[in-house]
Amino acid sequence: MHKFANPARFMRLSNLLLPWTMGITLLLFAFGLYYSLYLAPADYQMGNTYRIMFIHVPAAYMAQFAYGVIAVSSAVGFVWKHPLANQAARATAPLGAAFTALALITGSLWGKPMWGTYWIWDARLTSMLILFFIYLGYIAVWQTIEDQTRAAKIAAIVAMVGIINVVIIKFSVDWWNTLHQPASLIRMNGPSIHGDMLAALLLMIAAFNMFFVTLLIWRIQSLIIRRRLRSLRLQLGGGPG
Amino acid sequence: MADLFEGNNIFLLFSYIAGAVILVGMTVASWRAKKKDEADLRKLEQHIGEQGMRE
Repeated sequence: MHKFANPARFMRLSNLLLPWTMGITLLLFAFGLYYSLYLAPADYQMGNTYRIMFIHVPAAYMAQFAYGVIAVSSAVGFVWKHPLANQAARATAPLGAAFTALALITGSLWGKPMWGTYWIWDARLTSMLILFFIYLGYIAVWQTIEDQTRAAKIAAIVAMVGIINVVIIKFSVDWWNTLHQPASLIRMNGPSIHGDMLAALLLMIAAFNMFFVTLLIWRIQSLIIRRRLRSLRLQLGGGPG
Repeated sequence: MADLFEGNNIFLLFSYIAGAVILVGMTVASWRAKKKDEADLRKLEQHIGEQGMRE
């Protein structure tokens, strides 16, 4: 695994992978949207409005998954000082923040017709909002600290401490009385939704995952190129630029 | 089309619009950043190459 974590090797391998990840992303979105908007039946109580969950659930899942990627990459970067791990964590943060924003927006749009309000300081909603702020804080660390080695160290600490919030998000619906419904997908006794709805949801989650992989590859490639640019500029004596 | 703006369908419509805007925005931002960095690197490597030739 370690030999693939070499920046030059990563660039070669990722360029081979990219056309595949892009193609699979488009296919999964096409099938996912067809299932979500056409094949999945209307809910007997909520009508068609429940279809918001085909965007909301994958976005919320990706918001937490992306944070997990940041925390693991940061731990690897922190312990083994691996430059690619730090770049992977840094590249993931804006994607995670965008997924969190989408989960919050679609959650509000779900809340109004279902609960009668766009927002409530419920444990699940509040912990998701905190996740959004942690993402912003993490991005700010990288943006404001000029020394990249120091920035990587501080960002890694922020990321590793922040993982506590992801655990709180996951169990918030069990630990507290929340307006947000409990888990209906990952449960001890299996999913509690109709088979066609489940298929649509799983397709959309898979589409969001492949979309994330594609964008993450672009972003890591971009950061590797920036590192090369910085070192070339230093060699030329023009400063890091 | 008029049905979309009636009752709760408007929330469904706005959710998918928000999804499309954010996902497309992420794609465009990541793609443009990558292309810009690649162009900058090409320019700098060309500049270094020309400088090396002169020396």
